Amino acid sequence: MLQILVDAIVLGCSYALMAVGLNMVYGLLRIIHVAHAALYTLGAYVGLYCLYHFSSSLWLSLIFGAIFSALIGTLMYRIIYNPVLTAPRYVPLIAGAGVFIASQEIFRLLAGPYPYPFNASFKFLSLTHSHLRITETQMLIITFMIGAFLCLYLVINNTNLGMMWRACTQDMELAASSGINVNLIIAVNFMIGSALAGSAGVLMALYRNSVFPTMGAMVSYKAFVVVVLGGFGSIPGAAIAGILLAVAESLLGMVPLFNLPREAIAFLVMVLVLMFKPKGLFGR
Amino acid sequence: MLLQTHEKESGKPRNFVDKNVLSLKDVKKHFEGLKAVDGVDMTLNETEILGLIGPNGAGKTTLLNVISGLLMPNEGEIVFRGMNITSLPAFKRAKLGIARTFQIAKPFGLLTVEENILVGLGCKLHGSISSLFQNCRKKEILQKAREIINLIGLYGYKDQLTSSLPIGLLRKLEIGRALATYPSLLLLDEPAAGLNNQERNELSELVRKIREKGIPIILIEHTMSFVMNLSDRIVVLHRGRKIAEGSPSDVANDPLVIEVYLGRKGGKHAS
Amino acid sequence: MRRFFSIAAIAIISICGLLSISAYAQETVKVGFIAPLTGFAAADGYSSLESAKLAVDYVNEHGGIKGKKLELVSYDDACQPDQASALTRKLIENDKVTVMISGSYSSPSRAAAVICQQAKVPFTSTYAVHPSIVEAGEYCHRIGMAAPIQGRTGGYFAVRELGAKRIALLIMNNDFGVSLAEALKETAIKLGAQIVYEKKYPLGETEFRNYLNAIKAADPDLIYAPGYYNEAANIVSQAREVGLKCWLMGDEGYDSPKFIELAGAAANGVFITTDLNRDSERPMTQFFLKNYKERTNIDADMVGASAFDAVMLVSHILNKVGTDANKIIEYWDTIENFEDCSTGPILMFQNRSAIRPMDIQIVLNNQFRYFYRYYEPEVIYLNPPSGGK
Repeated sequence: MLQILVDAIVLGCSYALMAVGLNMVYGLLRIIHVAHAALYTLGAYVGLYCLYHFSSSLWLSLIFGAIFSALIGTLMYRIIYNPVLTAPRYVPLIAGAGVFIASQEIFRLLAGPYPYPFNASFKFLSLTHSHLRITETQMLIITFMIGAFLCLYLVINNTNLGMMWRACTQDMELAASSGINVNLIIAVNFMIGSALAGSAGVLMALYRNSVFPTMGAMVSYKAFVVVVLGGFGSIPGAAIAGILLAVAESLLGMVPLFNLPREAIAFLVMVLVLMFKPKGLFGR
Repeated sequence: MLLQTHEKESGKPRNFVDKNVLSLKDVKKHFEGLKAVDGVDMTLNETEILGLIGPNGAGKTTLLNVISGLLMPNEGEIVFRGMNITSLPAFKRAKLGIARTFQIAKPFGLLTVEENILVGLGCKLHGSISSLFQNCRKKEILQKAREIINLIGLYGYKDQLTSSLPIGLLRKLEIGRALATYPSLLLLDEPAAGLNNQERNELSELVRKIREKGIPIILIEHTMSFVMNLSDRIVVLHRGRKIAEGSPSDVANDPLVIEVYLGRKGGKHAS
Repeated sequence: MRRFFSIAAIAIISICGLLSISAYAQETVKVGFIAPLTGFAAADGYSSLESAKLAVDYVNEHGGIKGKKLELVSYDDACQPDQASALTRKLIENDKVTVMISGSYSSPSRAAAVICQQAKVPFTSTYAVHPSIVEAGEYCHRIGMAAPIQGRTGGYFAVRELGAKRIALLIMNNDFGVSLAEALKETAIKLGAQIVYEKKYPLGETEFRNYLNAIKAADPDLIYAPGYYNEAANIVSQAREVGLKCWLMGDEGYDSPKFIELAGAAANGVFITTDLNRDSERPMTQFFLKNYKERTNIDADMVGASAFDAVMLVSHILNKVGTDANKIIEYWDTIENFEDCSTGPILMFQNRSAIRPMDIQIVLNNQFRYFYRYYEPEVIYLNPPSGGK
């Protein structure tokens, strides 16, 4: 039982890391950033490239994966979203979906259709006990997620940047009139969200030991469910909902006669929550 | 623009700059055929309170948006303290010292009163990337925030979320938030709307205090007594054009202004 | 000078044009081919297409089709049934292909089969297993192993050879996984084993620990997890991680070097039912394995082998009876002991599905190795003779 919870929490961490980026973008721009999952795949491929060409160290992969995703994510905003921000909401949505689908084919053209194993070497804590086993990778993912969210929380609540970011989520015109460079804040927002997506990609590539062009597809649906569950725009909501969803999936998946695949469970949970709390568990 | 930059560098600004905080030259802003601001010339002097009045739809708020940079003018030139700012984005103008309030009081709702002030202070002070990650509650910044909160009389509410404040306090907070950017020009868009008499008097007091600190003000207001009492000079806009300018008493007696305000007599507007 | 260059350019272009016209003028026999070159199944599409091209090159080097060149016309169906139908129409109507081969999954193959039946163009699927593909009509065939046969083989091996009494099923939720699981389940129950766990998972799933923990609680002797290698690699490595020590059995969907690469050491000891025997000394098998690797720099897989065989078989038939559709399908049903293929010899066609000896392979030292082979009609025939044990 405890083991199942731990496994579910690790999975939940990956959902949460993806969902937080989506939520940051939604909180600021009120657009659903479908192409976010492309950055997850990008992070994994960049990490893989580092692994094959530079060093077998995980840390380098993680850093490069995050940096590249951050850069491309910011570019994506500049090139794809910025020109269509004033258009109706569905326009950025469709643009994002287009970018996501195209990205899968670009990865395929660049790296081939086959999955690659991700054999990175690293040392980290692990725990083995007769009833509970947490592997090094699992421990790393949990630590990373806690660290990332702690940093994010501190930055948002205690720094000038965080203050400006919060101001921008409230009212961009007002923020601009108060001297905030709104474009800079949006760029930083995309950078942080994309870096988290990229590192999630590297970590999950390590966890699953595989990298392939369509690896982002499943994650993108899940992250979307998490965003709806946690409440649009709420960052702690994304973290908690991510873990809750994974735990719910795993526990419901154990019920013998409840023969629904995991995806179905995810969307079922989402529908149920929306029926009773239309703004999500932590929506405002 | 080139000329003025050059002059600024040489340290010898042109004459009119000495007198004028702000000058607009033939500023036009059109929205798909609607001429919201249609060629306005206007100047503002040091330590002056300029009342901007006119009937609804006269283009007052649009003009304010053009000055603060939320809208870009179609034509014309805006010069602020010797710098041509016509094409600068809003946040840069704010850093140069142009602060404003909004017609619908809308501070950052989910931030506390103090945080609302801190946003403005933080922006003013940060110049480098590294300062982005500095603590936003540093002692000296908090000290300044307290000063402003005291000035607007909201000390007792400093830790409340602004979305819970009544309109009278919101109006004051709006001004406080604008002051937090250390402005050298303050644009007030109907600061007295929705206030009762007492609140209005307190607001007048506050505006005067601000002027005494040497900050010139452009004030849009519908409440005539309020604007006439406060202003040193009045500009009257009608359908995007300036139809009168002068001291409050001159303007109040201008037949064209009376006609615009009291309804048309014969329906002719010779301007 | 400039003028000279432009004249030269025009000359070169026209020569190229003439050459290409003359190339077209030479008559070819066209074979239509659809495969998923984009989307989630792109890896299988790539293997499939490259193997088919390899076979076409082989055929053309060995005399073509009665002196004419064999030409492969291929399109990308993205593994979508609607695209498969449209492209099959296009291949038949515009490209005038003589025979259609589908290098795609079950649902697009089924869509293509229906179109070919209507247009009376001989059709064969390669590695798609769903029974309904050949049910489209007399023009539709299958080169690969039908799901009922493969599932049944798995069932016989699990219960008879490995002695499994308690079997857990972890099933990929699509045509492929479900039809294999059903066949194995039926056989295993008939042979006296018990199904102690049964759950479906969606295509693309990566997290199996909660399923596997539940399976561990059910304490099976063997887990049968029909699916593709990408998911299978996760299942296998996570099964070992949660401490499952029972037998693991998969299907031809595991049959790719990528499976071993992704699953790592956990792949060792996994059994699969397949028809590609890498240890076989048959020349065609070795030719395929060697040349595929040279061509693509990747080790060959079962999907590719199946497409390779389809082209080999089709060219054999075309050489025998010409391009008349009726003669082709008439002859097709009479083929016996076809040896010119990379997978085990095709013994015959039953209900238009290929019948061949069924292989069990095991992963040892990170390689697929031959383990067991079934010849018994009760195992390998589509409709096994009644009265079987």
